[in-house]
Amino acid sequence: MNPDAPELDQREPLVELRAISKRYGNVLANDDVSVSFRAGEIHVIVGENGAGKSTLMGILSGAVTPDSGAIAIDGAEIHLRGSRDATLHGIGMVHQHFQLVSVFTVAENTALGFEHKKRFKTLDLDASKFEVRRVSEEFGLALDADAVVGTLPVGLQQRVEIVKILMRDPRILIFDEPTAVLTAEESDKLLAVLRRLRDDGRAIVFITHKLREALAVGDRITVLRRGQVVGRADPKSATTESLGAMMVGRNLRVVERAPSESVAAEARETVISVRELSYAARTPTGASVDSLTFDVARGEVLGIVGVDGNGQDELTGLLAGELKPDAGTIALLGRDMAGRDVRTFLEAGVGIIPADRQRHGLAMSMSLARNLILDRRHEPRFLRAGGLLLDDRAITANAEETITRFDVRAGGPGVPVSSLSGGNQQKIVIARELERDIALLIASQPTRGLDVGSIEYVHSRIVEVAERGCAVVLVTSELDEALALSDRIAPIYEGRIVGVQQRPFDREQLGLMIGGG
Amino acid sequence: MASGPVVETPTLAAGQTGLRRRVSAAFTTIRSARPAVVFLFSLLSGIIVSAFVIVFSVPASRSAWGGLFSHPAKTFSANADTLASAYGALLTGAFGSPGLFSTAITHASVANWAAAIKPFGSTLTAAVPLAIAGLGLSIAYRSGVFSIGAQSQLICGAVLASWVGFSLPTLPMVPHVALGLVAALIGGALAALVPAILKARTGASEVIVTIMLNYIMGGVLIYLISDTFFSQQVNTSPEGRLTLPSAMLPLLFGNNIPIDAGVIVAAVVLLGGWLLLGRSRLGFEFELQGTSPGASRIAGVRQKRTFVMAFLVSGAVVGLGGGVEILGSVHQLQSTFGGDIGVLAITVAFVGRNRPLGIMLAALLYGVLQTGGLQMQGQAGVSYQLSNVIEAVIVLFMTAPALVAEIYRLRPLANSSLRSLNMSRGWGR
Repeated sequence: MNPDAPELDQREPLVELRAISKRYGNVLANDDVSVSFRAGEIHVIVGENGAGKSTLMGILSGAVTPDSGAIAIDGAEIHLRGSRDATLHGIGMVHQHFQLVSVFTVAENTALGFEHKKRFKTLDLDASKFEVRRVSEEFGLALDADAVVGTLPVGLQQRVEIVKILMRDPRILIFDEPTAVLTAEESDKLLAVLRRLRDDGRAIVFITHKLREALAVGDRITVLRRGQVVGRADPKSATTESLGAMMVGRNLRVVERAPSESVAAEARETVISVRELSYAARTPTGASVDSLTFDVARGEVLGIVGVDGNGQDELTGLLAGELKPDAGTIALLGRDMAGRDVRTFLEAGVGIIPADRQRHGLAMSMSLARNLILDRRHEPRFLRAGGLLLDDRAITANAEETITRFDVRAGGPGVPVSSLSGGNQQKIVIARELERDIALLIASQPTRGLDVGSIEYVHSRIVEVAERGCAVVLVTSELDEALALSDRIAPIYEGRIVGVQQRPFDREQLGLMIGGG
Repeated sequence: MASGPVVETPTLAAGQTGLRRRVSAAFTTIRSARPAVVFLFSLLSGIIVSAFVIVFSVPASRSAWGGLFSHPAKTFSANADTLASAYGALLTGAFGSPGLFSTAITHASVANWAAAIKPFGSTLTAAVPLAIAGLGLSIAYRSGVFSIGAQSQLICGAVLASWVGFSLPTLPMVPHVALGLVAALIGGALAALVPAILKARTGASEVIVTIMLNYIMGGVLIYLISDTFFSQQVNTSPEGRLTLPSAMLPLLFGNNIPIDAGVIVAAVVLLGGWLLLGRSRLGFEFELQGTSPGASRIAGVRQKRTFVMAFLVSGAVVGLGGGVEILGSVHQLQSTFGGDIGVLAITVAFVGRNRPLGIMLAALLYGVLQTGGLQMQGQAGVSYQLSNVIEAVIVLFMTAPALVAEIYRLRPLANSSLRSLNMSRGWGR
């Protein structure tokens, strides 16, 4: 890819992090980390959540002060007293959570903090607009300088963030999990931009935990685990398996369903039967669902795969009773569920793993124990005094049992779920739904934002619940996830199912169908 | 500490370090931004700021500032005198004077004890409706219902309780009082029903609807006690008919001590609130909906029904506060009824962080400031309005916990944010 690649190691590093350590309380977030970044090179840093990637980048971008260690640019040590200092040293960072003012225009956002002034110190927005146009043309990042940022889709907002950084002409650019919020198509475009910036002679630091991306775009890979550098890998020889093992410190089991299981599925009892289900978008940002028809039988996993915003959220809302269909029917074990509410769906045996676990799956301020009974609060085993009062002893005992059985890393049943890591939060949601007596599991983006160790765990649980005889509707934007777990795959595009595939799957064709081709 | 060489003087060493450890642990607690600590420092700040207001409002100490440079000692002593007498009056007015207590101890008699306890009795009586209404509001706030309608609910509860109270002359005391309190509960719930249904059916903001309802019920009250059978029609000024003695909340400790059965009602309400919000399934659904509307929807909480339910329960409890005020202390409807309690109850719920124990303490604090404030005016010549200023300053500091934490250099707690002091959600969304 890069013509200079063979002689990379001979060149002097542009930026060096020398023996960086940072402690938070009794957690050593960075433990004697040394990494160097060279110009004209994409350096990928991978690691699980909590491995210390963000702390390290916070230190490089001046937001975090290290306890010990030093940063050197061109061999000279520098001291950063804040992120503005870092900007002046030519270090720019594209944050995972955009640092944009949504009611400002693109030009206003990019000018923020580095405003052009006219005489009498009034704001010179024309100069900013000119800058935006110059930079976006130079790097092929088309943007309307007058658009209000809040009205732009996520991919364009990220582009604003990148243009904003590029306007300061940085020599080193840090991208903190930039693809986490992007669709597959947007991700590909972003990776192309990264390559272009690299070929422009800048040093690119790319943080991710998506191993496929790391291998696709990286010139060099550094793996962090528990605050330490545990390995460096050459993208040409490394595989996702070898990187994954380095990241979690053990070999990962690849969860994949045996094809034999799916053959028998046809003879089994149908759990959910959806006919001509339609729902028109209610808001400008919402999507529609257009005459969907499918069945899922006991023990079968139906993968519904597509780019976000093609009606998946609406479909899961309809399947959970949260939304009322405009037309069509849903039958659960032969019972017509039209017009029923969520409670009735839950009681009929539907388990839900929502896409947004923090908003829809958990009550973040409540305790772990209480979160484990959110939709099980009517079960007599958790109630006393004739169903009026909660039986806190039983609830705590249930939580303790779940913590042991599902290996949840938490301070105890009483801690708020907000104190748990993303993977452990998802374990709480999954444990709760799997403990219920369910006939149908709707798992929506069940591994979004999770690290590889947690993904493995979630996948094996989904396979397990299907083997137990539960029907599973797996809604995901990760084609690999659908390929590994599903018996059948139904790509969804603009609210329609574009054709159902049985095993063995045709990966290429599915990819095309997801894109509307 | 347990290892080898220290064993020689074990008791002394262990005692010292134990004490030192305990002192340093206490110090750590005091320096952390716990709600209770923030509250105490807010109180302290309120007292300090109010001291300046008091000093400048009393002529003697104000004029003393003129001689600050010629007679500094005189200035300071004059100011210290003013403060000592003002805050002294506040405390004796609220809790009783040490002199009367020592008389009661040395010459023990019912009358002496009654005189000693009387001020604290008044404090309790003032705190009772605030605690009940504050708890009622906290049910709404924790369920995501932003009700400002305490005034209308208090009035409705009081009107129905008063109606029962001045009718039914043949009824014995226990059923009469009970019927009056039930009427108050129903009245409060009725007043809450209007905004609850409007919000559930049409999405009308409960904030605006309850505020408007407060005005409407204020007007209805004046109409009732001017022109209808509610009116006493003795004086020219509108007043409601007097509650019959059989419907009055009985005094618990005889006629000389003004502590009525309202205290028991308040205790039951606080306990019930603790059970409802902390232990019951209904309260769990309320809180789930209040803190995480999205998760409550997916968990199958029927949102409109739960919203209406929480609003009604909250309104009923607030209405009970109005009934207790009528049957317990004022005994007749007056044209301004419910206004001050309705507003104070909001701050009581807020200062008490929507927790029953906190609400109890906050209501007591307000009781202290009210009865003590009267004494401050009578004895130290400090205007009664100034006790409102003290209240306001304390609440002001409470609403800015970050400010208090900054002034006193409190360390934030690891697991809770200062944000959690926010009263409730529900504006707009």
